[in-house]
Amino acid sequence: MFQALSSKIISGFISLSMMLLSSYEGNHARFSDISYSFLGDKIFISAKLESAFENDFEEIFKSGQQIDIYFNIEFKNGSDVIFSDEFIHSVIFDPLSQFFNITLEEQKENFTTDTYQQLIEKISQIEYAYENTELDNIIVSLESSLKKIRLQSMKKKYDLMMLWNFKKPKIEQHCRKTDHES
Amino acid sequence: MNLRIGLRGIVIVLFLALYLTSLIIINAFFIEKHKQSSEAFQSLKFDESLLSLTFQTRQDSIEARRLLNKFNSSRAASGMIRHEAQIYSSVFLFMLMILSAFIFIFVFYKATKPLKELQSATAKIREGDFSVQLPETGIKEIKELKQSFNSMSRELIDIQKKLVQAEKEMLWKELSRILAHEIKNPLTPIQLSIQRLEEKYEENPEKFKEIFPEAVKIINQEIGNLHNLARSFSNFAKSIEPEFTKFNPTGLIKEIINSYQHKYNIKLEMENDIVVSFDRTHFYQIITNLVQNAIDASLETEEILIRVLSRDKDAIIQIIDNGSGISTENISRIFEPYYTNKKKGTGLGLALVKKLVDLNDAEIQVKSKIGQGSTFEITLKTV
Repeated sequence: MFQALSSKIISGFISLSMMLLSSYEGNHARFSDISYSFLGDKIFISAKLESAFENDFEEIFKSGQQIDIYFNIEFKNGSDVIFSDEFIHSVIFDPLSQFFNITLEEQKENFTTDTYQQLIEKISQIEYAYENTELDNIIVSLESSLKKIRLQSMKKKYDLMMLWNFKKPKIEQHCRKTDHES
Repeated sequence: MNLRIGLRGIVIVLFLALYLTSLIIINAFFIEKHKQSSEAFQSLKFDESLLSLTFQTRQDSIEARRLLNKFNSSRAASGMIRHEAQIYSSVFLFMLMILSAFIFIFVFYKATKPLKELQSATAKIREGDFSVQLPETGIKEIKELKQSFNSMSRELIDIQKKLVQAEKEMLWKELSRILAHEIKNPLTPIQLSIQRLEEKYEENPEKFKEIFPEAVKIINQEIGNLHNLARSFSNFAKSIEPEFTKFNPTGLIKEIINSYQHKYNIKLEMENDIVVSFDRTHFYQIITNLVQNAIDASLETEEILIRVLSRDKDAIIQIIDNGSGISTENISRIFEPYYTNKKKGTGLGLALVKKLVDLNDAEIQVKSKIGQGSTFEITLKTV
């Protein structure tokens, strides 16, 4: 709790400093509302990361390094975590063909695209299926983060969270079975 | 609520305004330069024609990919460095602003605190408390200032002691002079009467019998005067706590005036339904003294008016004579002990009046014109 509070204070201080004294905008990443549906003992989760990659990310994606976007999903019954999982959306750019190769781990799919807009569309979309739930009412919590990377021929690591103004996008939503789904 | 900002507030506001504005202007300048360098950097790209080249061998394409990756990676790194510089410089600048503002306010408060202490110490001295001393701490100049202040207050205590001593000596001298004069006055007729009796007793015993009653009368009269003088001094020196009782002042005034009215022209104008809370004995002494004072200032036929009236929640008692009046230079001294203009006065009558009026939480004032008379007015609280 203390860690969460201190990280909130630090990110608030950084945001205030940037708002007052910097022209740097970064990205104000956030999740759209979670869409869900129950089918038998499965729940299908769908969400989208918005305003996350529009500014300054193109250079990073085109650096030739593998860029990973981390997602953490938790299913809770009240305050008890009944299941949690972490998955990655990866991007590698080929400078000769100018194609972005995308891997969406939770969907077990690979894509290739040459447009940056399509890349954003793909890596921002989350589709997750959780099996073996007998609960009619479940809380789904979704969080995304970026890690530090070391760019080619550079000694120092760079924290990609800087591009999200050091704020991890997070959403938590109640998902209830409808009468029809029951 | 006192909303005066004060010198300290003005200095703090001015400093913060100038300092913060300067930092913001410098920051804005660097932001602008940073934008320009970013724009210049954005234009740094590989020529598109490079991508349309056909590489002859796989080794060529691997080498081309390596070079392109290296270029793109360096470009991305430089972008990250620029973003990092922007974010961290704004955070550090903001921290610097807050920290330096706090340090300035703290140092400024510490530096001006001794002035505040000096101000309150000076106020205490103004109120008459010369014992105030300041701790001799702080920076050199402040320490010296405090030392000067402390030595000044010590000197003031010494001067005050000397003044009190001088005043006491002056009072004793004045009192001795008055006592000597007042005692000497009755002693002379006593001495003369005794000398006369001695002479007649030795020279003409028959004549002695004739003058004896008259001489004894004079001696008794002068002894009586000495007795009165002793009583006046004794009354003034007494510590007298008032015993407040509620009474109608008009009744008591009538009783006092009764013994005077057969000889002097005293008139009364009084509202009857007034009740005051006052020490009865003190009231008697005050009115007696003021009436005696009016009689002494007037000729026997001149009218003396005593008026009692109510004004708002106060009772007003005026003793008005048409006598000689008091000059402007003397009127401010008439309540001082041992101050008198009369030939046969101790200077204690009006001083006693003032003392008793103050003890009973009342007020006294006097208006006078030379040749037209005086008005003494006492204001008492009604019940």
